[in-house]
Amino acid sequence: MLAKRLISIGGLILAVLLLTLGSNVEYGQEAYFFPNLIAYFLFFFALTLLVTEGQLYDWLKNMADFLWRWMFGIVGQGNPARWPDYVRLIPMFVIILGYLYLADIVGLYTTSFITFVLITVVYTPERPRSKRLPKSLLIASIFTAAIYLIFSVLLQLQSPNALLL
Amino acid sequence: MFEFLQYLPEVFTPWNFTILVLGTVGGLILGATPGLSPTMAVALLIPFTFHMEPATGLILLGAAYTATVAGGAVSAILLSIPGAPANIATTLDGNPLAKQGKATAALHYCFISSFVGGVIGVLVLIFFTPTLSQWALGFGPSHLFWVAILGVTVIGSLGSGSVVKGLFSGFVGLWIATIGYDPVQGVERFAYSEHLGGGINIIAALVGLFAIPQVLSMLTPQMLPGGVTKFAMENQGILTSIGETLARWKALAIGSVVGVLVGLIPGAGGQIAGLVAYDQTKKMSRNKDKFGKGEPAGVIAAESANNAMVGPSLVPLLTLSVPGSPTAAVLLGGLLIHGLFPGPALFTDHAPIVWTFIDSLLVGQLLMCVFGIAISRYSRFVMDIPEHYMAAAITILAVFGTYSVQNSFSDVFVMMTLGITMYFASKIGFSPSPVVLGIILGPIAETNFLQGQIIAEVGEGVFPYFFGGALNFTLVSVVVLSIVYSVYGEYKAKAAQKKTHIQQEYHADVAEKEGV
Repeated sequence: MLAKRLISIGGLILAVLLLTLGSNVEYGQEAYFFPNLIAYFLFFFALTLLVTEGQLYDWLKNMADFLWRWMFGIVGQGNPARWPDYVRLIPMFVIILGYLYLADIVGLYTTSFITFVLITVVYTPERPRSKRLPKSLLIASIFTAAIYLIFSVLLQLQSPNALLL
Repeated sequence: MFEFLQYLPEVFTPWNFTILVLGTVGGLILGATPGLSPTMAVALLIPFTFHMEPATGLILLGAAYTATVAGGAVSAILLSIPGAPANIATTLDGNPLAKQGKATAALHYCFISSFVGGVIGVLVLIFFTPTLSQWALGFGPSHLFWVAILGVTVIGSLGSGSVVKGLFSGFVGLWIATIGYDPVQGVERFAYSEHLGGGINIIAALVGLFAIPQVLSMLTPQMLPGGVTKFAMENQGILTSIGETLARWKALAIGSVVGVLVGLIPGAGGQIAGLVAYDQTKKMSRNKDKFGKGEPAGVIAAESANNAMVGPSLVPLLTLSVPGSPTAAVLLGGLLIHGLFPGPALFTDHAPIVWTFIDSLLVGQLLMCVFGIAISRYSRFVMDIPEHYMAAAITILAVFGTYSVQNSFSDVFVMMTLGITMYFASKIGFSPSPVVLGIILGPIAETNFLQGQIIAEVGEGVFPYFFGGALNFTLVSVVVLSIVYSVYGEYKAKAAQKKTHIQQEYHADVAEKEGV
């Protein structure tokens, strides 16, 4: 229930934000009519969600309780998502960030190869991880070669100018 | 009426046929892999079609759509994990059959019944679509605007767990589509970053919203339950399987009819077709008690239904831009990037492309059956691919696929941002299909809204123009009805859930008192 209220409050904030973005414009106000109309609908749906899904009684108390639990990572009823899932995904987010940042500096195929190896080694369920490295390197090489064949040779993709391939 | 025969030879040109075979085999493998849904498979393939002739590209997408739905039955039968939502009903009897040592037989039933259902579905597509498209010729801007809104509301209200959340997602998609240049005045809107200058690319949105959340889900606690049993494949003659399938003609007929009807309803999707067909077959069967324990009729009904749904789900898509299923919504993106705008003019302006595509779906059913049966004995290998390898491969394919469309890293950033945001949104009950459809139909809705506004201002006024006339009234009514029906369905489901909960509590109390 509390999570649903938070979702609808989030929706209301999003709708207000979009309306603000669409209202404070320097020129071409008319061009913002349609997106603003949609933002009004978003506001209406978020409000409906708040009214239908959540009883507003004890709202503040529950909200404070939820925030307290969420801030300190106490997993319990009412939390919208389990904390450990996100912790497990942090390495993946770092890998993705690095991949996107370095792809046009180091090279699209080289970073793809490294990304493949990193994901498979970090997320392998087997221990010790280092034992899986040769297999990961081999599969990543075959996969990158296949990607190169498909995109560069068959589809004539122009890869970005970078230090390596 | 028989225009489709004229373009049938186009399917058999060496390049088109090769693509059809590759799409079918690839689709079967992707479908058999747990966690890879047909929608995601088609979304990942769209960037490849960008470099192809429109007809060839659509052949690939159509083949992948058909084959992934059928291929999803492999993991449903062997692992009890549906390869796609459309195969949920298949697990009910398919897995018990495999446990009884009839895994090959179950796979044969599945591909044969998918073939029968699929052919019936494509025939409906062939004979219904031109008639509907002729009718759609009379549509003006106000009607097309309502049709676009109908697409969003239908997918939003029927295709999501919660009606309000579905509608919210759909309208977020519509709003995202307004980023970039305004279609009438050319004003740049909401482009706060250099990556958003050209608006949101449809392919980046499709790939990001469908592929990335799935990748992230693969890397969070195990999708496969521990200790999954994998079965040895027994030898079963194909003629025996055909005979056994046809002997259960009632299940085949119910499955095909239900699949066709559900496919024609925009937004319903394969899982509904499979489950409704299974339920109806069970109700009409003399051996009701055998269902759920390995009854072949259960597999036949579910699989004929989910493949019979594929063709009809394209009828509202090709005529009115309203997709019949989430995968059809992705296919709409595939049509748009080739400059093919669904609607009245599609069958007149692009007849060779559209008919070649539809013919390929017909031929694809046969290929799906033949290759499905041929590779079913090797299907265990596909399911042995570890999920972290799948996740790595999909991430890189998503990046390459998105980058290759415009050689732009901005699209890749947009794709990743949308994908990661969608992952978190899916954790709190939002689904990607309405967002995608909003992004795809957004420009159609806005352009027609603005055109209608201009026409209305010099004529009868905005309100009478958009709400007056029989067709506008019908479309608005259907929009409202689809929402009201879904709200009613949700209310009923919640009431039933509450009743069950109260009953469970009562029984627990009674048991406790008796124990005391």
